[in-house]
Amino acid sequence: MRLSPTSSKLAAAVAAALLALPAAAAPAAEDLLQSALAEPAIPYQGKVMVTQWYGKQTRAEEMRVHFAPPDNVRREFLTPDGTVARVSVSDGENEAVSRGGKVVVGDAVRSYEKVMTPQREREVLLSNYDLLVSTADKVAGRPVWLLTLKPKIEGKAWQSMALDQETKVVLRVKRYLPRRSFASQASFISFEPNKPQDEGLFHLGTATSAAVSAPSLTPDFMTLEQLAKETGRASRLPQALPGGFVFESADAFKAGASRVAHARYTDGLTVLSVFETERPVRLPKSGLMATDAGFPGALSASRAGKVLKLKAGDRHYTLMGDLSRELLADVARALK
Amino acid sequence: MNGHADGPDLSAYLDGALAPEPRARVELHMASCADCRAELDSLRHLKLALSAAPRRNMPADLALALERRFVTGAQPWYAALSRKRVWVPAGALAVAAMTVSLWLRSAATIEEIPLEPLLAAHARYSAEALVPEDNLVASNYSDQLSDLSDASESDLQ
Repeated sequence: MRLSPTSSKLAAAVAAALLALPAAAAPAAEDLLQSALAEPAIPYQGKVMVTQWYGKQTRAEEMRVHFAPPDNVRREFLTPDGTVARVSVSDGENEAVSRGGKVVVGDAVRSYEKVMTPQREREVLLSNYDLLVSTADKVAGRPVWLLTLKPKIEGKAWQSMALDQETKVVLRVKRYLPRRSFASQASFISFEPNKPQDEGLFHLGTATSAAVSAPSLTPDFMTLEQLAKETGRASRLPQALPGGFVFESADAFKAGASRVAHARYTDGLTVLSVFETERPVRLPKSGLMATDAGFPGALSASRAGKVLKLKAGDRHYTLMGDLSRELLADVARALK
Repeated sequence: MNGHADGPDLSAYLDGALAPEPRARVELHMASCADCRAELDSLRHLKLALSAAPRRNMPADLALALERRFVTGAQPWYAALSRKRVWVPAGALAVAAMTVSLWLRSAATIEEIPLEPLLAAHARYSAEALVPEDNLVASNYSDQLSDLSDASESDLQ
């Protein structure tokens, strides 16, 4: 028996549908979030491209990444011709950054107990953001689930994370302010899961005379009361700021001859830094942004998001974060 | 607006003293002119410096002389000089020059803190955030740390 051309096409479509694997059901948003927050359970390597847009400026960088559980990571930052410009290595306890023979060492990320518990931080996140799950184009040739964190109020950045459907490793993170020219993206362009990693990759020669420590690599996690004790000055910093930001922890360090108090606020996703100093901070002229006459300070664009500096009483404040200028201005007014 | 914004316009803009129409013109121009934005920032710095400049009490003998001149009407021997109208603008000019000189000196002595250590501290803390964006933070932080170590090791201590 011969089939007509129409019947042939129909039969082919039915056969294809029967042969195709059933599409995986989308996981629950909170389960995906849990996977995104956990360290990956498998070793992998790959290449990542980081791109940032801030105001009229753009920055891009490529890196090679090696990861071995539980938390060993090596990143080699590449110049456009593929040579290694600098290397960052962490074994979960110590972290070292090397460039041109100089090594800077400190404590590894997440080797501290923060002031705010993870449970509380998660509650803050869920009170400020809605979670959305969808499918997306493949990332590095692999099927992904897309988890989007959508802020409940305007003026804050959205974040989307593309998780590998098989391994749940986060393959792409994108953060953006809708309709604004502020965004950042870190995306794998190649990804090799379950690739055993040589242990030697995660050791950087730190026992050299060139090794120095950096205060920002060994941050403190203090309460506001501890900060006041450390700096010898009563703190005027509040426990909460507009936009759903709550105080998480504080640090104090020296920049040149000046003492800097660093208060960190979070809405569960976005980090807002408030620096308190006795002298003004110098903003680079290249990033300065025009503001209205009533704007409560000087505004500049940076890779860290926007930077706003203002004076209140005898103290200078510098705010940093991925916020709209309007929301940043509200925060500044709350400090005045 | 052709060329750049006028100095007096920028100054009035900074003080919030411009009428809506010229203010809109200045804002439109600054949105596309980095030089004028930089100039505005310099003026803002100068204003901050001036507001922090020390204030001094007037010397008692000068206060007494002014009181005699304007309140009691009594005139000292050098009052004759004031009849020469030329001294008035010249004196005002000299006082203004001295004031500006003091202001500029005061502004120059305010040492500003470089932004880079603060950016590095913010980037490092961002790595501790609940929701990770590790690769992005690592790129920024290691780059800023390299810039710092290139610039001055004292910034790292």
